[in-house]
Amino acid sequence: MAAPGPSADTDTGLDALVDDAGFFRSLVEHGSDAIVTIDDDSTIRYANQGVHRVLGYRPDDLIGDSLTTIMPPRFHDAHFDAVDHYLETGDRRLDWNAIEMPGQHADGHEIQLSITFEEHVHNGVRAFSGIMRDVSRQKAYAATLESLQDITHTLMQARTPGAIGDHVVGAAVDIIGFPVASLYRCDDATGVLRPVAQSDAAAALFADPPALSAGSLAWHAFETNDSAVYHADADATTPVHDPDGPMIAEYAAPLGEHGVLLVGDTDDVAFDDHTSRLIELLAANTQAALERATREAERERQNEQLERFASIVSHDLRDPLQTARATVALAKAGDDDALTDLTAALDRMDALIADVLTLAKHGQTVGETEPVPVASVAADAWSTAGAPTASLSTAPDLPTLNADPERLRTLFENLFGNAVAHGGDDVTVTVGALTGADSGGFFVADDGDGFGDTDTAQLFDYGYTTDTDGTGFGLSIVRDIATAHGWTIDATTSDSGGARFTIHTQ
Amino acid sequence: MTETHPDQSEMRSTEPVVLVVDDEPRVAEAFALWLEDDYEVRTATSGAAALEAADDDVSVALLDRQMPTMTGDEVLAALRERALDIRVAMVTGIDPDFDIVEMPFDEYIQKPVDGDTLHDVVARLRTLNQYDDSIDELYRVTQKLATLEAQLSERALADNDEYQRLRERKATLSEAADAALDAAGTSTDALGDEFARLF
Repeated sequence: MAAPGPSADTDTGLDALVDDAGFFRSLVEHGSDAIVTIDDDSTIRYANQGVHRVLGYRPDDLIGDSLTTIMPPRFHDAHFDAVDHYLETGDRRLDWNAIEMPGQHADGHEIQLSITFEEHVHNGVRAFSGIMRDVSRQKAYAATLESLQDITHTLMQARTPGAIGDHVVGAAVDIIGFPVASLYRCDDATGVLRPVAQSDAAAALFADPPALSAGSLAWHAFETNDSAVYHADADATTPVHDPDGPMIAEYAAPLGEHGVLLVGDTDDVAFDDHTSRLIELLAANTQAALERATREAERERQNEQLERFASIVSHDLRDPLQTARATVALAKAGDDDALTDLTAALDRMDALIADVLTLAKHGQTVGETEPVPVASVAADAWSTAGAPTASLSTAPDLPTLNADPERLRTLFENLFGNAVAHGGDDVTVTVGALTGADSGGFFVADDGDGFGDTDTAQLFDYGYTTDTDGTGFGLSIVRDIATAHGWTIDATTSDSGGARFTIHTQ
Repeated sequence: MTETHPDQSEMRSTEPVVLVVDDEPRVAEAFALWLEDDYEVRTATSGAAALEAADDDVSVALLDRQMPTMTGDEVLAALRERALDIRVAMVTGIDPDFDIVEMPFDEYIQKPVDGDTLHDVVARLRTLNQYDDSIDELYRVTQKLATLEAQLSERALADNDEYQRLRERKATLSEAADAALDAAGTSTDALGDEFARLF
């Protein structure tokens, strides 16, 4: 069914209307723009009702006055010059169409106007009319957009989430005008949103800002990847962290997988279209900045890794290569014993290449994970990495972990290899479960000599070794595998004074 | 462990003395083997032994960097402390980084090296003995710049203050050297191939 259209009757009515001069007078009189007509001398001869809304004058107050009444003084001379020039030559010094100029309001302040000039001759009298539209809001909006554009540049230079957060809450406060602003990032390990930056007002309100999870506006926005708005009076169904808290209005804008931008006020404010758009724009730029920072950090990490590998190849292979060259020279000169050392140098290079490959190929990645019983993986690893006279003792309560079985085995092989290298062929290695307050994970301890004066923080560095036969990469491999599973590892002294490596899986 | 290579051990010879320091005995032995026809070679496989073996007779030292207990860097510092007039080349597997800028060696050689390379290095360093201190320093600075430039990226170099200072130092030294040579009525060109080979 068609919607009801204008009837023939109303059409006829409109036709009659446009023949009526009163219709046009009413149109001009009550239009939303201010319209002012002047004569050759710039005296105002007509002003419509719009001048009150735009400029604060009653039309009657303006009629008979000079146009300069509604013009900031600094434009007065230029105005008269331009009018004289035009009357003399017919040249327009300005574009007459939608030119942006300030007007002077009755109460003295300036307002941003968009003005279109019209000239026409009526009953032999030449008249100039200005149709003026208040564009203050658009101008302010444009200025705000420009400021946000500028902040985007700054955001893109920031390298850390903290620095990005500081810029973002600064922009929310100074540019968009919300005193309470904070940036929350998703903490992947614990699955909650944690604050990384907050405005001064937010810090004053929430000295110890809470981590946010389900049941908060921020989480709702994060989970749905859709902006969420809360207003204390509006509806009780929006999830909000603390309904009795000081916030009257809050806006949560999601930042993809990174987190949420939260702005609000303790005063009653509305999030109109303009404001929402500004917040969304800031949020989009924040997300882009966070993505860039994450990417950059990852790239830097990879570059560093690459540089380390280059350094490994050039540095750690150079020494055994030199030894090889030396032993060959000595053997040629008649020292046959030197050839034994040549074999050792070649073995060392072989071991280095194997370790570097393990690191380069797998790095900090894991393949498919599955429930893996620690006890059986440890036993398998011992069969290749243990020494015949050394012994392995596994606790009966070892956990089953969600892990990549191949990589977990490599982890054990390297820890066992380390124990045998430093604890001797008759070392006893114990694998046990973490219990009590420390539960969630396992440890590998030996009864060797421990770390002595060694700085345990250095142990996991690439290429670090105290053993001339070691490659210095075994523990780096262990650390990378633990990290790849989301675990942490530390080194301490075992109960028997040997080395103990503890892997926390929670 | 310090030992004078058997061939030269009978008596104090007039041959120039080269001190080889490397914690890997085979490497020290091979260096000695390569150099012994032209030089009297002393070898040491630890920092302490190196300091014991170093005296005024030694004209060139080849110094490994990575050694247990006492590193080559520490040996170098100790040698300079004693103000022995020894030209030192670091012969090492370690990649040079900006930490070498302040190290008082004359040349930086990366392993592995062969006999020919060692001969060249020792010969260059001995030639250097003929020139005065400002030329010495110019040589050292030039060597460091070349070592760093070969190893590090342009960006890393551009960002590094020490490298920039080193470049400025080289410019100053070059001017001074040219001026000195001018005053002596000669030029770097006229000094001939030997000098040119240095730089």
